[in-house]
Amino acid sequence: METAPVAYSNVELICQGAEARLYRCLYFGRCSIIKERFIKTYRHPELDRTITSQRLRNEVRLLTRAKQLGIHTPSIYHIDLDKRLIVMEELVKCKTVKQTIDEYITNDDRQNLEKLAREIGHIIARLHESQIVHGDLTTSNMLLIPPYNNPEQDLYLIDFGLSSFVSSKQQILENIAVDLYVLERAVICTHEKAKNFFQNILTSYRQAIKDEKQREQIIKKYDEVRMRGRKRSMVG
Amino acid sequence: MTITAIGFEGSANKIGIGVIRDGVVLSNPRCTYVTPPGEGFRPNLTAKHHSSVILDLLEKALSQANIKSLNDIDVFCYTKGPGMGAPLIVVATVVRTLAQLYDKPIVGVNHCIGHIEMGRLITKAQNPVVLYVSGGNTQIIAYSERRYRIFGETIDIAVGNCLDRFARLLKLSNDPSPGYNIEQLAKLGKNYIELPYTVKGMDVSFSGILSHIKSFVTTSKQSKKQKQQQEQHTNEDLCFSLQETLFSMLVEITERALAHVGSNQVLIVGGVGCNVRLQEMMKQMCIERNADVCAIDERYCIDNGAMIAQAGYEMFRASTDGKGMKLEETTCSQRYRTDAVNVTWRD
Repeated sequence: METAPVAYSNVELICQGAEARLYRCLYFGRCSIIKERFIKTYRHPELDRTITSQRLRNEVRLLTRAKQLGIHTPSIYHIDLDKRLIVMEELVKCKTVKQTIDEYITNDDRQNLEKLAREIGHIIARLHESQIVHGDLTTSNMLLIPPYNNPEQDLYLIDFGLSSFVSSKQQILENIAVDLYVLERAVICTHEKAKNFFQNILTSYRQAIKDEKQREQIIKKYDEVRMRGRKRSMVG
Repeated sequence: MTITAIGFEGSANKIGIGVIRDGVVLSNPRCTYVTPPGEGFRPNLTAKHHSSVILDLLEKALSQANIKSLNDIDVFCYTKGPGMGAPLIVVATVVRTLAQLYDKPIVGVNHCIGHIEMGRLITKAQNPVVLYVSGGNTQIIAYSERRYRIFGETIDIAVGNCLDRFARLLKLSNDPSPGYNIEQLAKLGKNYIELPYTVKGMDVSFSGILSHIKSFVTTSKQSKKQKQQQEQHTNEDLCFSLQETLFSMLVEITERALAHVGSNQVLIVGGVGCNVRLQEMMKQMCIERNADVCAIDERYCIDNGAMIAQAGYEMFRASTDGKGMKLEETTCSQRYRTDAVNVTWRD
């Protein structure tokens, strides 16, 4: 008699991120990652439940939607709302874009830096054109799989917990602009030495947005959001 | 060589003068401009208040520190910004005059850096992630390569401003501070009311929460029909839910910043930092990830003179010529970002 297949095996904790614990495991024999959004005891239980289930659903929904657009994302294998976890494909031997940028800078590899920035701009444009905002664009949420140096094939986008599909015309511009602003800040803070990296992302982003009117509106709104942050008067 | 620094702070509705000698606080008196319930503080009236009390406060600061003459002070420090223009200028003018009268060096300090350096001095935190929360600022800050870098911040109003404005709506007293009175009411609240929750990466937004919760408050302007249609909640529950929501957002972005920079220490500074509920929540988060919280009490959380003296002392000590700023550089700026300062005194 055959034994029933084991769902999870070889479970091992990789790290505790800000919101979730990540485990490596074999899920029905496949190399997988379990992302468990554990209970946050500091916040009110009702609030915690709402936020967690919202983000779990978002993550699955928007990861899949992004995949449909041809953006590389890990495949989802399983979702368990009660246990607050999703199981997804492990990107074996992946590196974060954050790490990769640092390596390129150490080697003064400008060509690859530019190539990477260009692809990031493309991907984000593709998301935004389809009314998806990622919500947490950082270089830690972008991964490269081997051989690492061909971003068109190797670049993956992860962590869609804060993402949303914005259907309202009024809100979409604001959301897109904030998305870009969040990325700009993340790049500046983390990659002090990567001069022009964000500028390069933005240039390729602009080229990739097909609708001219939309492109102008986005850039205008983005400048507005930037001014809000940079020059807002701060009292006390 | 010992250095005695005096610091003057008056960027908002508090005016404070503090004396610090090599990291020891000798005196730190403060005076708050308290407005009637339902009202905020206006720049011109705040400036008037500051100019009417500043000299008495100076005498108090000197006598408490047991300093006979301003000749015994080595460096004069004042808040260069950010803050309200009029109050900033009042204080800066006094300090410029005194520094020239006694022929002493003068140093203009970034207010936010003052909070951070004071927090580091009091708690001995070496390299923490700093949550700076006050009436005008909401920033999550970490140090790297000679800058205090802003990893996340509010994209509209400050958390303290959100609390203050809600307190105004409920006509809560501004004595000792609106936030304190919200905290007291919140302790009696039991029911959690769902409010918008807006975190974008490490940034937060509070204005939507404020407009939303406003719709639950009955005002005299409303018609009878509007009042009947309104959802009914007690002020206690509203304050409770507001705090729970705002602080959850703050703790969440702090945790993100911790994970992002790989730190295990949090320092909370700024007026909202005295809120015990915020401190509790932060502690709880830190326990779960094996980190430490450094919180400070109202003496140093709320704007004060000693923090300006401490930051000025560090800047002065790190300068090579010991002359302080040129007089024409001792201006004020309402907008002066934390990451605009070159941190010369840290590695």
